[in-house]
Amino acid sequence: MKENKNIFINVNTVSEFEFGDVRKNAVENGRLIKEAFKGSFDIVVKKGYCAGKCVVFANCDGLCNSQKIADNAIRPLLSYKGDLPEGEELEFICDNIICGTEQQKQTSLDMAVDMLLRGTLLIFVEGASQCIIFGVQQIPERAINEPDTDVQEFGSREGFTENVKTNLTLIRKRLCTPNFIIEMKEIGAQSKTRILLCYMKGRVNEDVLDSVRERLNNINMDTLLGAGYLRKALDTKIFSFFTMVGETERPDTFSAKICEGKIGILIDGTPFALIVPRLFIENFQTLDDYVNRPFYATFMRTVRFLSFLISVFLPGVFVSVGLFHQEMLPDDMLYNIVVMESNTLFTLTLEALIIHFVYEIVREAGLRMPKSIGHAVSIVGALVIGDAAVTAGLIGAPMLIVVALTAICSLVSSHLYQPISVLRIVFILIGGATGLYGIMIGAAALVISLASMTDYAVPFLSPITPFEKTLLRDSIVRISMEKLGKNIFDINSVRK
Amino acid sequence: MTKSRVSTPQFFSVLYLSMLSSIFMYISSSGISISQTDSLLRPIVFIFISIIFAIPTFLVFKTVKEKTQTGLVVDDKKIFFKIIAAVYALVYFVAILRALARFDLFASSELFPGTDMTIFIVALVIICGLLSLLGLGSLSRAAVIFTVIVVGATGFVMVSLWKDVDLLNFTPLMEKGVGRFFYDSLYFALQGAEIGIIMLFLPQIKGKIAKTYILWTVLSGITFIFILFFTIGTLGAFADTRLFPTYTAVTLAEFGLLERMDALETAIWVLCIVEKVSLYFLGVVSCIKFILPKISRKLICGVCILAVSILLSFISADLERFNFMSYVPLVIGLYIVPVLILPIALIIYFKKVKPYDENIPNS
Repeated sequence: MKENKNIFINVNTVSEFEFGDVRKNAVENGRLIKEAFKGSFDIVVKKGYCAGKCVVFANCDGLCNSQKIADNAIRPLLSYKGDLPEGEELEFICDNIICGTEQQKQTSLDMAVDMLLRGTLLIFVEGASQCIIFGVQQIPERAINEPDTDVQEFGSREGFTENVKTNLTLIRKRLCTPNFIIEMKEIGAQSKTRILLCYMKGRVNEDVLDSVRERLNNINMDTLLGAGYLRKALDTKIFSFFTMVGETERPDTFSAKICEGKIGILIDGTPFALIVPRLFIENFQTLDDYVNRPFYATFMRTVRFLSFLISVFLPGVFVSVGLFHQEMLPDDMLYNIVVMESNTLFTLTLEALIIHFVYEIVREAGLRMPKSIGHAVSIVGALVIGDAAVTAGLIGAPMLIVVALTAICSLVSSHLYQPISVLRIVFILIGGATGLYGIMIGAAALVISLASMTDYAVPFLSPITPFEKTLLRDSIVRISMEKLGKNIFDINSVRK
Repeated sequence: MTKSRVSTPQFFSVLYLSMLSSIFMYISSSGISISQTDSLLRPIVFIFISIIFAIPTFLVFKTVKEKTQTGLVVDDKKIFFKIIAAVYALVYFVAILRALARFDLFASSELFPGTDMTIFIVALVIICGLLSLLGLGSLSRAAVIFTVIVVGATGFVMVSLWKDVDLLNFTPLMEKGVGRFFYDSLYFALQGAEIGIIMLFLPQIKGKIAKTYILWTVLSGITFIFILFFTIGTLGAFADTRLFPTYTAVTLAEFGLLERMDALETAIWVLCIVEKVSLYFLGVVSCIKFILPKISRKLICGVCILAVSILLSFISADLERFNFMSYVPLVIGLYIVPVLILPIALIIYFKKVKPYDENIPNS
């Protein structure tokens, strides 16, 4: 595993070599770069003279701060009147002429080009077999805003951005400890996306860490454009409805998980960070729970869990009771339901499937369409489809109520939306075909498959099963912070 | 065989659910009355028999403890152990058939009267077979959750029957004589073949097995007494006329808005069936895998699913075949063979032959 570690940290080894080393002829280096980019207009190559020696500057316009380049590099160099010591030109320039905090020398022209694309300035000096990489990056990025997902009532308003450095800063300011370790890796033959592996030394389990490193090292993809691309590499059960890879847009949540001994992965270009391993119970927990009083936090977690159950099972149970187990309902209620449903065209099962399908279409449209026409879709969805469909006798009002309740409940635990939306369709079909008994068999299969999920030696259903008495104090129930503080949650304690 | 070990509470939760399924679908056999108050004492006999009959199993385990390689007690490449494994596989294959045939009868006579439930049962067989491939750990962990649900729901339904309990339904004890009481109690105790399957999975269980086993038998006995109390109290002599008396009692339960809770309760009982059949499937597949190590578990499981499905279709076609599955010698055989005969055979074998080479590393 030691070899893997080295590979992981060393960026040089993952680059492809095309240009070879830096040429001693500075102009030749500039020409090679221009040719490599086929004269692309954003690649700027400028020639000048410093102490009688030819100096070539290369940068990617738009990724660097032009003012910084002019003030800190080009002007000091070109206006330098003294001599450059023979053979030590680069050291002299770095130490005495240009001023900046981020400078390094590079022998490989390939690596230099790679750094050029990350917003640095390359400085080639005639006769030198290396070049200077000068940090003047100014990559365009979005301001730090409140995240759209993972919304907290009392939490921080900061969310991750698409810039991995900014995201790292947001975490660093929350975890002011040298134990917070970051490892970098590039993934994607074309995108060369930087990912940062973050963990807390002393709390993270080394086996889990090695396992994550190994899985990341084995990734072979062309482009990495989002967090989801990495999920399949980190998740062993890719055909399962549920995942043990968590996702967050919040630096505070990310920091809290790191403190629990978990491993976080920041990916350049996306505001979503990954966390492994994620337990099932975490889908019902929010940071607000630790701000609210224990009784309320417990109540809200219970509400979230019940919402999950309702959103998965309610439509299926309603269909099965309506078709197979009418005797369960009181006569008056049954009569009302029968009257309303008897005017509709379709069977309960088909009705449930149609209305859920329509709901998913409306939701997808609401997600993808321009925000300016969002209200129009809401009106069409709620009034035209909903009200008119009942009036026209296409669907029954009880079914509409069930679907509306299910839809709202499914949004309570947003991380579980994907499994919920598919599972409820499955349970509608099962309930419509076999009644409550089929639903219960399906539920049993679901729970057993959840119990079988164990990734990084952590059971997905812990601390409920396998039962961990200590950790249960912060599961659905949340006891007082004083008592919780005595025994901080640590993912290692639920490892088998 | 998965080598991950499960805790004793988890494993015995599976067995507890398995035992509960037997009492939920308890059939009033010919000549064995359930309406007698004696029925409340039968679970006590069950506790004693279960503890005494488990002694050979624990003696075998003591001999082979921590020396097994695949998780099966019969973990040796010798032909003797292959025969033992084959007998275990056969016993639990028949036990699967018996459990599912009874559930088929229950479903087609009580849940959906007059409906052919073959497709439903075959679907159940397929699901249980596939779930067994997830391993003992998955079944055991899920069983903990199911136990809480089943016990909670059953307790709730039974207590809601309280208003229907008539103390006049309780007859004097030993009305038909002591001998008859012991015969009935013995028959009752033989209903669960769960004790035998413990033998197969003992090496995979961590914790105080003997202590938890005793606790399990006592808890199972108490649960039986609890369920039988409400069944007898509400139905009285009428219970003897019903094929599934426990279910009939449950149909009387009502609470608030829910006028009938039998559908809900029986749906929850299905959890017990799923756990029981999946565990038996796991036992059968593990034994066959031990006998034929080159064949994949998935293939073995597939063949077992096919065989069980075909045989169940055959059984469900004729009521006489259902009756055969409750045939007393068959019930006794399913109990005696895995619980007494096979462990005793192993003990005798181990007396003559050193069970395991000391150099074999622990699993």
